[in-house]
Amino acid sequence: MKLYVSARSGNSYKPRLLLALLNVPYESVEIDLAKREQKQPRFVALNPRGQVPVLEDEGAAYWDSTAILVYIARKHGGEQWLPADPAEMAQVMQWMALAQNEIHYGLQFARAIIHFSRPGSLEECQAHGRTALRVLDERLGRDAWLALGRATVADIACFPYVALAPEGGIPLDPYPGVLQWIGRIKALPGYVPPPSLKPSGARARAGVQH
Amino acid sequence: MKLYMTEGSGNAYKVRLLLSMLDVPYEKAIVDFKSGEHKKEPFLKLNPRGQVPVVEDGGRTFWGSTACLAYVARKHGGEKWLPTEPTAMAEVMQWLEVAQNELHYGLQWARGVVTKIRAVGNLEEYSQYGRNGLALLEGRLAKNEWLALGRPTIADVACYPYVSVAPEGNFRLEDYPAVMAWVKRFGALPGWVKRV
Repeated sequence: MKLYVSARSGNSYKPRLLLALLNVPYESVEIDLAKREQKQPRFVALNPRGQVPVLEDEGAAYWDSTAILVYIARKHGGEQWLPADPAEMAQVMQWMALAQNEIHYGLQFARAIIHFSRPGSLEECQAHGRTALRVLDERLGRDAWLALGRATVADIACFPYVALAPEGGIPLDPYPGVLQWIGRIKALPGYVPPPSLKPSGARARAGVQH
Repeated sequence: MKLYMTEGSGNAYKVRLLLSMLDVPYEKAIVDFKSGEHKKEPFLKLNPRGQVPVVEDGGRTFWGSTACLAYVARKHGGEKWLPTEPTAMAEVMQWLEVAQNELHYGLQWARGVVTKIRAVGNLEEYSQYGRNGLALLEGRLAKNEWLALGRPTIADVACYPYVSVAPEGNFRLEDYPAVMAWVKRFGALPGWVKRV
């Protein structure tokens, strides 16, 4: 299994986190976004969208973080991380859709506008982002996990850009349920941390640009 | 099974299409968007995001078109519309995500701005996303009849509604001949229903 990623990408981090939690070995291939390597023909042949992450396994390539999470969960996670039962699967999918909607064009874009000169309305993105956090906090005020009373790919899909929300100018203090859930995810066996803009020693030494 | 919807919602239309194609009887619960019913209790209890569609079945509710499609497909579609084998499921999910990304904040939002359903937004940005989405579909459909697995799946069901009305958002479908042929193919599937 080969995973094409960027160290700074929150979407790349989702499959990295799931693979780490499931203790599945894989080869990581770093794509240099600053050099626009993701838009080169060789990479676009793997993913016509020209984005990371991409997963290559047994001769087939899968793009999109949700599809990759689904693939890994179904292949290596048994019925735990994404069950096949209709009602259970739909409960997980609800939150994966939130990750692709309000969290994506809210929290993720707000962070990208502030730090990566992404065009767009910061105010609009932050409003979407706060909607996502309100919905998550309501849920997590009552439940430890987003779906099925246990960690699933729903949590993995929502976690990165929620944890990084403060870098998009949205403090998490008004969302205590969300903060506690972040703590629970960090305590999962196998957990690896998300990319942060705060320069860590290792990253600074490696000269990684954000 | 009860489907909370509006007649005009493309996302609710996805679920109506699948239910009709699978010949599953259901009750329609029309949510009154004009009076803001979707942003008030008790609807917010069903879906905290305040959006349609919502499916209610066996005492449970599911919100969001992707989750509703997955539920209906898994409950009534056997392994045909959404298989659980990893490679097949991932192939379908890729296109469900295109529906939630490029098609949603491209085609759907551009149409929303043009038809004044949507009060705010950057039409230029939405149009670019929408064209990216159409180009992606065109690349796939130039070589394949259906988006995934060589047969109709919920990937097609999820992408069809906002592609078929893309011209209302000022997109030129003539530039995407394979997409146009697919829209026609999809419209000929047994059980297909009109949007409104």
